[in-house]
Amino acid sequence: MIYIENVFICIAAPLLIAVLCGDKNNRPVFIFFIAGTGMCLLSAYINTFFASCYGADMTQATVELAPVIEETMKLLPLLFYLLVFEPKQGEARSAIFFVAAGFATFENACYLVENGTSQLLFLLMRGFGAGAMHIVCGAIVGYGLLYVWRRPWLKVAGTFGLLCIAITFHAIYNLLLSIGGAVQTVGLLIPVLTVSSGIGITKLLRLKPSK
Amino acid sequence: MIELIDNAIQLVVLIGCCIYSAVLTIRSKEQVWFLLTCFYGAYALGLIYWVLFIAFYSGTPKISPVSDLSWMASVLFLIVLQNTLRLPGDSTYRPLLPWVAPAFSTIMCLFFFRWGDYFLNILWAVLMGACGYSALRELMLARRQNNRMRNHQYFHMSVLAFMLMEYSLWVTSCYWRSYSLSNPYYWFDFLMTSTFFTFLPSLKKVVTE
Repeated sequence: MIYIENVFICIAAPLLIAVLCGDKNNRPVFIFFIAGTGMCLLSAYINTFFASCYGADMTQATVELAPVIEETMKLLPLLFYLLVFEPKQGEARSAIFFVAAGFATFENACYLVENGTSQLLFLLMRGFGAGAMHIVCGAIVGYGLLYVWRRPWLKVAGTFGLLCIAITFHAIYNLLLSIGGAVQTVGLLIPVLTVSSGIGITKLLRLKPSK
Repeated sequence: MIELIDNAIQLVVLIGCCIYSAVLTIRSKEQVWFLLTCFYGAYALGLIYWVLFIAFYSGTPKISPVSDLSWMASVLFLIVLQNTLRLPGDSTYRPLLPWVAPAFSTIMCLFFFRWGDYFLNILWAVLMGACGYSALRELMLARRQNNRMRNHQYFHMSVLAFMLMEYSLWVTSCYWRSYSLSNPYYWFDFLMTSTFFTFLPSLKKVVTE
């Protein structure tokens, strides 16, 4: 058993100090990162609660419950920010990525505490895989929300739809990872490839108007 | 194995329909095609997870909120699509018969409480009830039209057929558990796969009116 709240304190404390001492313009970045780690901590608690409610074993909890809870929790700080502060597109984008990065960092830290730090190659793949997966899911929801909320007829269905897409992407990743072997490697590579192709397509789209 | 083949066929059909309606969206820039693409896409995504789960774990998900959520999102897109296709005079037309749909989904919800999760069952009942109510009302209104707006009836018929197949699937999955073609579950699933096709021509009729 690991005490994840202690891990959270160790990660959040220096960041909180940096928020207080740092430049005012950089504060949102730290706050979103801490929000991401906080949501990961809360997700772990809620996940454990629902797993015991449904009598789910480790695999069921990972493959069937965790994606739903984690993606919903990750959406909450973003929804709060979008609804209360009504930020510009650029600000909202960085918020999306820092919440996702905070979430992935905390998840990886907990994984290291539980499983050790000896397997460099696997940890390298897992670090990039989990990081990319959370960034992809965050980008799906975040970018999607920025598009959907400009269209009143699509607001409710679109938000729910985006959340479901992120949940399913996350669930497929967790499912492939739970199998092990070559399937696990494919699962780890899918988000990395998605991020790479996403970056490539974005760059291509940016290049188009300047021609 | 038969379940995997059945779902794989349905997935291929859905992906094909999704690509076709996405092409129509890009060509025509029409909202209705975009919503139909979202419907197909969300349904296909839930099915991908379902198929992978069957392939790797040789069984269906026991808790299963993941696929259900995707399928619910697809029904939500269908409801938005129905709202987009509203006919003139819709706001004053309030017949009693369409209330049969919400009443039916409430009864079915109570029936499914014996097997499934309460929360998901209630969510399904609300969505299917709303979808059915809207489809029946618009179908009745479309049949009262004398012009080309009468073509709307085909789309709403497709929605009702989809709903009926979905409920038939759920009921058969409660009683028949064999993994052979004699199980009516697979017949209804193949029929549901064909209802996915019907959305495309019926919506085309509405759009080209």
